[in-house]
Parts: sequence; C-alpha cells; structure tokens
Amino acid sequence: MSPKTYAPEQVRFWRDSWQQLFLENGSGPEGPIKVKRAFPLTEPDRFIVITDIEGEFIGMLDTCRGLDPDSFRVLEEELEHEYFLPQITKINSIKDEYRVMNWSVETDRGPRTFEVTNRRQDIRWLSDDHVVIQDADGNKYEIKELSQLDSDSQQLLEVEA
Amino acid sequence: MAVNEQSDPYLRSRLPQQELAAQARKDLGGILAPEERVLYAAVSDMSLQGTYADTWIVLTSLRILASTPQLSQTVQEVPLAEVTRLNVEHFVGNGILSAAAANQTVNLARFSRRFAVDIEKAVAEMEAVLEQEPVAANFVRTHDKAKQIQRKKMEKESNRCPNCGRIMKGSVCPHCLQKGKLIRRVLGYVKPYYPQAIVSTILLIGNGLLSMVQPFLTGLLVDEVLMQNDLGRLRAMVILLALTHLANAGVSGFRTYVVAWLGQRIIRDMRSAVFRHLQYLRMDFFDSVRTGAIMSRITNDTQSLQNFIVQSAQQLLLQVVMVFGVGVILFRYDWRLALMTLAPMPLIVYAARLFSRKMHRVYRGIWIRRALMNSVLADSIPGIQIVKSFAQEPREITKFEHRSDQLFGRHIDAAKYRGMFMPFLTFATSLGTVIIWGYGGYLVISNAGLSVGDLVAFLYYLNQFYNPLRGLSGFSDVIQQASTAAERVFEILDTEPEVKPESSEIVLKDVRGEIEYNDVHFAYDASEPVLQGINVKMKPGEMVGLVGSSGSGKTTMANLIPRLYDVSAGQVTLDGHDLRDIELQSLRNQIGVVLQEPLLFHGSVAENIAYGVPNASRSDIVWAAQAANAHDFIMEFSDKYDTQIGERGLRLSGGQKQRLAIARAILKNPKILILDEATSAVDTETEKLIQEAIERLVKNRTTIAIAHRLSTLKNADRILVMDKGRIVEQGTHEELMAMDGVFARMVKMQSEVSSNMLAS
Repeated sequence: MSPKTYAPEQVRFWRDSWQQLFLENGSGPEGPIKVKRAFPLTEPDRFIVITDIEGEFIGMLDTCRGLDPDSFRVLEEELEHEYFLPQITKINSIKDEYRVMNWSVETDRGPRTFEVTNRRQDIRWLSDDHVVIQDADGNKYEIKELSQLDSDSQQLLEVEA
Repeated sequence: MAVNEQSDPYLRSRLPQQELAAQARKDLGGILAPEERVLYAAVSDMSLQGTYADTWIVLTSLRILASTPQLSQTVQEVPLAEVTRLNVEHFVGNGILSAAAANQTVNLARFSRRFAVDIEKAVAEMEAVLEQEPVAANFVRTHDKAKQIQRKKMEKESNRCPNCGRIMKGSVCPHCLQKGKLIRRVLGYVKPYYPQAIVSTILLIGNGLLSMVQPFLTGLLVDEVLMQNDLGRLRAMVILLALTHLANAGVSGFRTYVVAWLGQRIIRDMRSAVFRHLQYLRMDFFDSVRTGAIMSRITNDTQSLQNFIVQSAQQLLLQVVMVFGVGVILFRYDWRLALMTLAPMPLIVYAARLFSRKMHRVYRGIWIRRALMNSVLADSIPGIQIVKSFAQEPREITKFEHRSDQLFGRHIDAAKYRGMFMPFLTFATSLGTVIIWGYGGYLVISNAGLSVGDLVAFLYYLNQFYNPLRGLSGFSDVIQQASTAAERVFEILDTEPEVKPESSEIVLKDVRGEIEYNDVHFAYDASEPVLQGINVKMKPGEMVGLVGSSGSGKTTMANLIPRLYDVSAGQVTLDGHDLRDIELQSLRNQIGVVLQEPLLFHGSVAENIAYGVPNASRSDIVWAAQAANAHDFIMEFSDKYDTQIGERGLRLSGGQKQRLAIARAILKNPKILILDEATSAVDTETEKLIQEAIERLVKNRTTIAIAHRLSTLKNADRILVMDKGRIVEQGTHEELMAMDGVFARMVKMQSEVSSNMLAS
C-alpha cells in the first residue's frame, strides 16, 4: 500500500467500542490506525501522520481544518492522548534544591508542581517567546507566548531558568 | 486524610496498601456499595478528561473502577465478572489505563509520567489479585516476559528516591542523606592526618590571638607613649609591635604550608579512592553518566571538597574565634561603644546575605548565557564546511550576535547590582566607624572614662569584628556547595561495583570454550528489548558469525560474554557454569576482543600490543605482530616497536589499528574471541592482510564474529542471522544461501550495492 495524502473534507474518523481508531476515505474503513503529530510543537494542528497499529506509515492528513465535527473531536482526543502538552499560564515559583529545580505552576489543566534536573537540555527555547519544559519524569509543558504571561512569571523564568 | 490539593498524590501513592484501601473507601463512600470490599487501591494524578486531579483506581469485590472525587462523582468501571484484561499505554506526557471486557474497552484513568512506574506496578499487583478472584472468571493474565522486563527496568530507571519519592540528580537522595553524616564522612578523610590538622588549627588560633594583640599595643602606644611624650618607651613599643607583626607573618606562613600539605594529601587520597572505585564499576554507569561529568567529579568535585575541608572549615573556626574574642574585648574596653558597634550589624549581615544571593543568581544567568553563546560556537566552527557550502554565514552571525547581546545584557545587570550593593556595604561599615568616632570622641573629650588610646584600639578592633562577621553570614552557602560536591563524589563511591564478593565464585583455569545462551533476554532501557529469547550453543573452537541489521542485537549478544552487561533474564554459560558464578577476572582472562574501532592507549607500539599481558617477552610481542601481519608496517616506523602511538603519538590508519588489536588478541591467547566488524573501511589489499591475520587468530578458539560485510564470514562454521533481538536463521554460508531467506536476500543486496558502486 503506497502512502497517501488524506483530504480533510473526505476523511472520517471514529472509534469502536474497544477504543480503536478507524478512518474512512471513500473506499471503506481502514484500521485500526494510530495518529501522531509530525510537528507537535510548531504545527500541532497540521501534518497528522497516520500509521497502522504496528506503526507502519499509511498516510498523512495535511490539516485538521475541514474535518466534520465528530471526526475532528475524535482526532483531537486521540492526539491529546498521544501528546499531552499542558500550557503553563503562570509560574508561581522556581526553587533550586540540590541541583533540582522545583517548579510550581498553573496550567490550563490545573495547578502542577514538577521537577527539572537539567537546565540546558530540559528547558527548550523554540524562540525567544516559545518555551517547552520537560520535567524529570518526561512530562512536557509549554509556554506558547512568554510575553503574554504576567511579569512575575516572565522574570522567574528569565532569572531562574 | 481526605483527597485535597495540599497532599501530594505521589507521596500518598507510597502509603502501604492497607492505608490506601481505607482512604479510598472513605473518599469513594458515595460510590461503593456497603458490602463492596476494596481489594486493591492505587492513585493517579490525572482525571480522564486530562486535568490534574487526584484519581482513585480501585479494584473491589464487584468491579474495577476509577473516579476523580474533585470532578463530582463520575465513575469509569467494568464489572469484575466481565474483565478480560488490563492495558497500560504510555504516551508523551501521560498514559492511559484501560480495562477490556468481551464487548468493549473502558478507559479507566490517565496518569502523568510521574506515575508511570507506579501504575505499572499497581497493574501487576491487581492482575495477581484478579487471578485469585473467583468472580473474575474471564480474566486472563498476560505472562509476557518482555513486559515484565520492561516493568523491572522502568523501576530501575526511575530517578526518584525509593525512600521519599523526590527526584534525585544522582543515585543518592540528598534529602534522605543526613548532611551531618555527609560532612562527617568527608572529615573521615582527614583522620589519618589528625596531627597535622591539630597543628594547623593551633597555628590558626595563634594567628587570631596575635592579630588581637596588635590593636591593644597600638592603644597603649597612644596613651602611654605619645600622650606622655615618652621617647624612650616609644622605641620599645615600636619594636614590640614589629615583633608581633613578624610573629604573625611567621605563624601564618607556616600555617599556609601545613594547610596546603594537608589539603593536597587529602585530595590525593580522595582522587585515588574515586578512580580506583570507578575502574570496577559496571558498564551501565558509564553509559548513563557522560565522560566529562565523571572526569569533573574526579578533578573538580574533589577539589571543592578539599577547599571545604582545608580552607572553609579553618576559616569558619578563625571567624568564630575572632568574632567572640574581639566581641569580648570590645565590651571590656567600653560597653557603651560596643553596643553602638553592634547597632549597624543586623543591617550589614542582612545586606551581605541579600547581595550574595542576588549576585549568585546574576552570575548564574551570566554562566548560562555564556554557555548558550559557546554552544553556537561549538556548532558553527566545527561545522564551518557545512555552513559555507549552504551559504549560511549570515544566519550563524545573527545567531551568535543574538547570544552575545544577551550575555552583554547579563554582564550589565551584574555591574548594576555590584554598583549598588558594594558601595552600600562599604558605607554601612564606615557608618559604624563614624558613629564610634562621634560617640567615642564625645566620651574622650567629656572625660567619661575613655582614653584616646582606647578609642584608637577600639577602631582597630572594629574592623577585626566586622570582617569575620560578614564571612560567617555567607557560610551556609559554602556548606551547601561542599555538600553538593561531596554528594557527587560519594555517588561514585556508593555505586555498587560489578564484582560482588561472593565466596562461591568459580575461578576458571582450563577452559574448553563451550558457550551456551539459554533463553536470554536483555534490555538497556525499559522501552526497548534488545534480545528476546536467544537460544544457541557454541562448540569449543567453533567460529560463529553474527549478522543482521544494526540494532538487531549482535553486539549486545557478544557483550554479554565478558559480562560488560548482565542478562535481564535467562542465562549465559561457559563450560556449563553460569557466567555470573565465575570470578570476573578469571572469566575476562579467557576472552579476547577485537573491536570495530580499536582503542589504542597512549604509549609505545609494544606496550599497546602487550596491554593484556604486561609481562610478555619482547620476542612474543614481535611474533604476535608477525602473526597479525602488523610486523612489516611497524618496522617502517622510525622508532619501530618503541614508536609512540595513541592520543599524542603517531596517527595510525584504521587497518593498522585493527592489526595491532589482532596482535593484542593473539598475544593474550584467549580461549574465546570476540571480533566486532574487524574488517571495515579498509582497502582490499589491507583487508586481505587482516583476513589472513584473523584466520590465524581464530584457530582453536571459540569465536564470535560480528560483521556487516557478509563475505568476511565465509570461513565461519555457522552463521546466526539476527533480527529484532531474535535468531531468525542459522547454518553455514552455503546452507543459508540455499535456504533463500533473510540471509540470501542480504547477500544479494550487498553484491548489488557493490557492483553498482563499481559501475558508477
């Protein structure tokens, strides 16, 4: 089967009662499939890679825009499971203890505390305004627009991290 | 304890199962039926909707359910009678636990990666419970070996303290480590040198006392000599003053020497201890810690420990002596003045602390920005060829200037703070002096019991009081730094060495060389099993070739023999003994290794050939080189066998290095030989020479040869074809070709590639 490009207007996504994901592209159902973002940080809503259950490449969906609402919801849910990236909305404190940074933040998913062990590797500046932080357990957190955070949060990140 | 935001769910998940079950019962009171027994309870930190909220995962006598009390009482559940299996899936930043029934799968709960290990463990334990539950008749436990190994590895890899659950940067938890114990352990290194330590401490106190005498003498000089116009005593006083200065200089000079000796001696002991321990650590340790970091521990961290033991500890003592000694003297001179002196003290201490904290941050900012700038350099200069060929010079320049600007900004910040704080500190201290001049001057003039000499002496003492005080205020930082360094050093010393002293160890003497892999599994890290059930027997003297794509487990399989790594499950035996029962030294004496990229040490050619057999005779070395087809090129070198090679010596070609490595193996004369891709990236002529050398080498040895170039395995008695950690085909070259399977396909592909290369 050669890889294909799916058009959002023609493709439909759904889940069966075993929580398996399927798609239909006019030529009967395909699946179970898996979906992954190709650019989870820079283009999260585009270039969705579709693979079979073993991870073998099937095709790509260039954009989620144009999907029917049900498919869109299912796909978003799958992608959110696959790449969980809470948005930090406020930094309460960053404390250094034994070379481990203890962060206390507010996110769009609720309050969270986490630890960062390696400043250089784990705090990734995609631009001067876009930061992705990885904690000691491998969880990731994003600040899409640092300039939109309150000045205390900005300063904490500037000084501590 | 109710579920609330204050109690860390992670810490709670470490409670004993009984307590957890009781808590779950309480929290889920509205959900559980009165007769419903809680069989098992676990905690997660995320709701199914993907918000951070404590969530219960509970196995009861009726069902398996998950509920997030914060989000009303919604319940995800599967009746116990229907459960067929439990699934855990791990994704980026989170994972999902689900329960499958005959006609559906129900997602029970999500968890952040912090809980990944705990959930895996909870699932394993819940599976064990389910298996015993008569109600759960449909449940099938999956006895997946790879899964079990993965769980075990995940647990091992967790960088959380098994005791308190906090993140540890090394293998030692600094929270559970008592600082006092740490410092005591550091001081343990001083023990052999107590006499010297005591002498230096006495000298130190001598220094303190001598400096305290000087202001006193100055006071006397003013009152008794200058005010009395006594020329005769002036000479005596001046000489006395000069003598105390001389004595002070002498004592401090001697002390400097003793302290330096002591410090260097201790650091030497510590360095050796760390290095000695390091030599016997397992390969895993070196895989997980960067070489640079290890080197820094031996040099930098032991150095900062030395600084602490010698400098800081003595400084502390001196400062304490000075503060108390001078404090008492100040009050004895005049208690009113002394109180005045103390007045600005809190301000000074506070300002000094504030300043040092602030500066610490600013300097760290500078350090980080400098590192960022350097990383631009480290990228663009070695990669200059790429930069030029893609015409990206302007971009690199912009990148560098951006970082350079940031660094500039940080330096300016630092200058600003220094400009603000330093003068303030000086001013505050001078203010103290001015107050003393004012009030002291008033006391002198109004004849209130203070002489001019007293005032002068007092002012002298004042300085001797403020300075150590400032030093003491920063002392907690010094201790902090030292304990971090100590922690890093002790982390190495506390890492278990590979050889466990066991009495039952077998010391190998004569070895036949029969190797057997018995259902061997192996994984470097939890996510990827490398070997999955290897079963193979190698006869003494047999040459076995390993082929397969990179990552198929060939090298790993070979590395198990010298026990660079240990199996995750199953066993490898040599002559019927489990490798783990054999004394390591005697095992490795039987094994010769010729690696893909042979490592040569700094030293002569002869020393390198004789690396495994340091007492080999000169003639043996030459014969080994002969057999390895290395002799001829060695004789071309200006210093022949005495030629310096390695890091700072002569640069050898890949083919030359390989033949030296073969000579090394021939000289060692091992029963078992591991060849890792011994012929790669050399011209045909050299390859022929190497091939010849190898043929001589493998004779009468059990040989495991790993190769990408399939043609080099023509002489192998047997070839094992590996794929994804399993042996998929085996037989001689001819047999495998006749089989027309994976191996035949690989051979065809390689000959196509090489003929294409010839054609182009």
